[in-house]
Amino acid sequence: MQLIRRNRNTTPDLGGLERLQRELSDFFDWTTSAYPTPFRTFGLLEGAWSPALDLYEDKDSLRVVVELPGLKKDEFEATVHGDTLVIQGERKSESEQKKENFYRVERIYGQFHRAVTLPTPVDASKVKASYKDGVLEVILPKKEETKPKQIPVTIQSE
Amino acid sequence: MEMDSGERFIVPPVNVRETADQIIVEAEMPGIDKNRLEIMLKEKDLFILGRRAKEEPSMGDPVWQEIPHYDFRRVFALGDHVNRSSIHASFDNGVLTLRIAKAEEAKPKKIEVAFA
Repeated sequence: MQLIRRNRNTTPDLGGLERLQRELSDFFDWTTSAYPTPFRTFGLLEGAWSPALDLYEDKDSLRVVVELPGLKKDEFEATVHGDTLVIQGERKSESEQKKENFYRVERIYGQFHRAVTLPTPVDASKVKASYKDGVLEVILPKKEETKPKQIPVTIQSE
Repeated sequence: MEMDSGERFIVPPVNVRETADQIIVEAEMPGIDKNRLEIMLKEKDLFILGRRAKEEPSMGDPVWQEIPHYDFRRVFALGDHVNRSSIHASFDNGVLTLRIAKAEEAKPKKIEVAFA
């Protein structure tokens, strides 16, 4: 089962020790500060941008929702491979494009790849996707034969 | 807007950068409608809030959930080197961008060199 697959993409500018120090320091700031910052492991353990993903199911379809803030249309794609939905792309680092002074870089850049094993077969030709307010929503209609059907039961009396 | 209301918030990740005449803050708040953003100045503090819709449309039964469905909030302390009356906000694809003008005295001054 490959519900969560993460790729490797470390933050480029910090070595492991410096990163550990920063994370510890961030953690104490985080627990005591009136100005909390997001607490997350900056690539120390996983080293990846792994966008948050929800999967919902109703009787007709599956629905996958992925947070992908600030992407352009050509920076990501969603594909169905059999029973797997793959969402992948890349957010280009702005620091490479603009020579400006950064005080904080908490947004994560680079490649991402999520693969979701779909719990029921879907009709790949009818999949619809939309992107709004930084959220990708993919609707995958179930295949006809997997939808619940009411089976009339006749009781035969002997 | 109380600090200890017990309400849970997501702290959005931000980038903060500086140009010659502006401080630029970008905050990721995916899934927030533009009309439900609140940006407030209270003394030295700049609050940004992104409220989720009161009733999000039903998506079906959750099978797997990673997205925390709380409102977004973050607070910044503004220094004296910014012009508090000049903050410009835009929201694009789930990213809020604030452009805060620097105070005149904080902008770099070009010094004319007179060559003899």
